[in-house]
Amino acid sequence: MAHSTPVPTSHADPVVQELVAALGENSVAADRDTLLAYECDGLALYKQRPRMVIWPNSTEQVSAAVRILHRFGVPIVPRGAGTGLSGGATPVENGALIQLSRMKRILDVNPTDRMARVEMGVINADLSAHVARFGLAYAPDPSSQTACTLGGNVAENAGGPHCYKYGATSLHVLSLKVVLSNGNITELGSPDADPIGYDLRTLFIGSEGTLGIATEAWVRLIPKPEIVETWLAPFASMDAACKAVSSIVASGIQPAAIEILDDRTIAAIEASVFAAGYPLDAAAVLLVEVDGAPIEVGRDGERIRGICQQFGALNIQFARDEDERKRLWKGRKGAFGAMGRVAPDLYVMDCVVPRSKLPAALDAIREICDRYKVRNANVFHAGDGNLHPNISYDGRDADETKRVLAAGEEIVKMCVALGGTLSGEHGIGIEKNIYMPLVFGAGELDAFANLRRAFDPDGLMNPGKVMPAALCGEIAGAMKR
Amino acid sequence: MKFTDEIAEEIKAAAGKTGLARVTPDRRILHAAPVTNEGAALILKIATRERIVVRTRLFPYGAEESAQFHYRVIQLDLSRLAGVIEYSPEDFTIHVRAGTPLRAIQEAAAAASQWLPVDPPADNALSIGEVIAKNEAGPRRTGYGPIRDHLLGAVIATPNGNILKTGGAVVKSATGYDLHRLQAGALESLAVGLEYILRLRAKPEAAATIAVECQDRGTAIEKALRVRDLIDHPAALFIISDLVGPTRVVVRYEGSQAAVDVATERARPVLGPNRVEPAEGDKLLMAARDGGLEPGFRTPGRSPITLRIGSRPSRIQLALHAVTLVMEKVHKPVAACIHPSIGVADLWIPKPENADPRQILNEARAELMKLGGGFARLRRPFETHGGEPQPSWPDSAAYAVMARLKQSSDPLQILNPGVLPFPAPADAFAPDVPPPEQAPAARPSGASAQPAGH
Ligand SMILES: Cc1cc2nc3c(=O)[nH]c(=O)nc-3n(C[C@H](O)[C@H](O)[C@H](O)COP(=O)(O)OP(=O)(O)OC[C@H]3O[C@@H](n4cnc5c(N)ncnc54)[C@H](O)[C@@H]3O)c2cc1C
Repeated sequence: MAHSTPVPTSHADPVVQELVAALGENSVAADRDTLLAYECDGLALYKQRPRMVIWPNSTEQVSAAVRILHRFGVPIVPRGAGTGLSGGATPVENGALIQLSRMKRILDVNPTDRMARVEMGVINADLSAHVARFGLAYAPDPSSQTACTLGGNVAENAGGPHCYKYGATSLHVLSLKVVLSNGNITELGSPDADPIGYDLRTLFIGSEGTLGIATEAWVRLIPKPEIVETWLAPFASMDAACKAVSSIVASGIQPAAIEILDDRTIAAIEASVFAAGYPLDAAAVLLVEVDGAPIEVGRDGERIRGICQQFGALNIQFARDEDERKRLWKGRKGAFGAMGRVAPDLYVMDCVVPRSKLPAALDAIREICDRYKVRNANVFHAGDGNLHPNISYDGRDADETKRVLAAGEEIVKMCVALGGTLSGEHGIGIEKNIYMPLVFGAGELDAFANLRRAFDPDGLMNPGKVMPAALCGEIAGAMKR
Repeated sequence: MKFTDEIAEEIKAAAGKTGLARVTPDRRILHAAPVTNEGAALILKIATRERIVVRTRLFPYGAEESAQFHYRVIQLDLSRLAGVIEYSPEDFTIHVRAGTPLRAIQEAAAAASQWLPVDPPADNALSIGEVIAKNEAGPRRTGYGPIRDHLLGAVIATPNGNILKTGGAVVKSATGYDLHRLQAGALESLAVGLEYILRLRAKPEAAATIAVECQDRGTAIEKALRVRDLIDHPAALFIISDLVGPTRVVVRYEGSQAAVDVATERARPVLGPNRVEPAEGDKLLMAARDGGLEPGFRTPGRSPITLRIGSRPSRIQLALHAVTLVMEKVHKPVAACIHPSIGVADLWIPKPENADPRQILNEARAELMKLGGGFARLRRPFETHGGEPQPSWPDSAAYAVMARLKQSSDPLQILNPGVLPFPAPADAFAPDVPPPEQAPAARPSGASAQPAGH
């Protein structure tokens, strides 16, 4: 959260003194009360108080701050809105948190080129709202879009329900202005087609703040679809819902979004402010959206309905207007929030399996959670095989927390065993860095470490994230300095 | 510094029993076609140990060219590492070896009415490894994006002989760094691709092509951008001005029959009732795909000079104008294929006797810089050996990162050196990689290869 009034800082710290001199009093905080609010991101399982928080308001200020931190060898963690669910923005010990929330200007919109130049603190939903007047939209739409920043989206290669058709963030970012760990400012990629050299832009997207700090980007905008149709199909079993998804995909129809929510998620939603009229007696509901030209949307909608009926869907709901469409989506987008009410804490997991393995993965998740006696509910991007097993728990109960983590570990291993991988969109952060050896060998991890060093030779950028610290020795390296 | 029998034999053993390793009579080029991933990796390892330059299959003509710069060159041919490893129609993913011709992938996918929606030059004859290394694309890039966007994972061999695997058969991943996508367009200068996992799409049920003649390129671009602004997303949208026929705007819609019909109808106010026969439509797509490339694409010696311009829709016309003027100084008229909605154009002239393509490239880049941005490259990769012209290089900080990436992956710069202008470390020049001024005389081209050890 940005501060508009001066915040108290710990002036005893020489790094803070220099930062204050360079950026101003109200752009740096090192007092206990302020730091407390930045101890974790959306993954509350891990907490660490930062040494200081910095709120730059321009690329130059980011660069100035990073130069100082680099000189003192202070590890740096970039932070957007802190909605990340893998601990990517969790501070590191003795490290600085650079909070980009003040950099929220939309600098340029070019409707001819269908591009916009934005600062990285812009909230995802604000961009689409801003460009709507040109009949354009920004496609990646994480469910957290009303809070998360474009910088966080870039760092996590964020997806969202509509990424099934339109692709995740990496397909929508043309170039990035980045501050490297020594304070140098550089441009990766270009708004002009076919830049020369290695594609560092693609490499940076999804790198979780470990390669530098993105401050600006040229992003691609898409024309808003002519019409949109949204359907909600309830099923008597999860298996039938998954089979319907496979059948829809196999038919060649390309829905804009194709999401599944299970019975426990439905129950949580319907008991919350996000209630959307989902049927409480369904084992699963399928939320499908198609967009495009009316004739095609009409035809695809009909075919989807037919397929759902073939797999036993009853009482299919169709959104007749924008209000109804919003209602149907309200449940899905509010699912994590609704589940947050079931227990004091919620562990939102994220893993991927080949789509054909979804039923097997879901059976296994239920079995694992039952065995560990933890409360699980599932909501997921079915078209992409991207699961979000959610586990509600009480973090004050040490035993339950232990069981939650153990169940989580088994779920991750099970997904990998089914040919899947650790994360579809939330990233690795500190949540899953220890699992990296499950999918990568020593050679790959070594190559990753080299790649990080190419951007950040001193190992100051978000050390300990993505890679197990022990494997690349980044924290140790950074701390020694 | 020629290939000794021992090294030739070692490489031959690495290539495998059914593989191939032949050395030219002057013992300066060794052609190796391994049959296993391990064999390919071992050859790279030997090359690094012995500091021998490796040219991959991307540069079939490149070995000869390289021999002008280096004492010895291994030409690594991955065409025997071919075939589909796994195809999962229900997941829309296919796992193939790098030497697999695109045609074989399309044939396998067609069995389940799927395809890889890319159409690089040479009628699907290129291997998938080549397409990825060059991030090669054809006119359908407008609708479906370049090959990079379809790449889910890869197995690669690094110059130190390691085999690495990143990504996988899932359509979405935020796990680790995207090493596989980094290979797209890297011209195999960091690592050699051995296997790739790709995302397929459902093959469109119908297609329609509309083509309309225009007086000049300017009018054609303006018309094409009006088509782009219609609600329907074209699979391809280009202007072909290849001097064979008139300048034409061509739009291709692909999808369901109903959608294609509607799109065609909606384009009518801009393009008129000019839907062409399917065969003619396919021919136009082929012309856009192969324009500016010699027949067969990979035949050495006969290529025209083709510049690919990268710009953006609002600037493409100015960029074209500026680069056309540069090329016209060498040959008039200049043929073009323009994809205005993605800001890309190919411009080409027949190769005149004494023209230096690099000089033309330099001038084109200088002109684009004056316009405020844009990129130009020769469509055919070539060895510059540090002579890559400025100015359209990334800024120095990005350049330093790229150089460090190359340095960490290929410290002795043995892999396709010079295709991207990274300065080689001083010690990499001795003794196998002499600096250009000390390079051995070019060997006569066309000398036939002999089995190793003979
Ligand atoms: C309710 C809820 C729903 C969600 N739904 C989705 C979803 O549908 N899809 C999805 O993909 N994610 C989802 N998420 C996860 C999260 O919102 C995304 O990962 C989002 O992209 C994080 O953005 P942020 O601004 O909050 O980043 P933060 O949490 O602040 O940071 C995330 C990571 O990005 C790095 N970072 C942040 N800014 C920068 C920058 N400018 N430069 C370099 N690195 C930076 C941080 O160091 C950290 O590693 C959801 C989260 C919640 C709480």
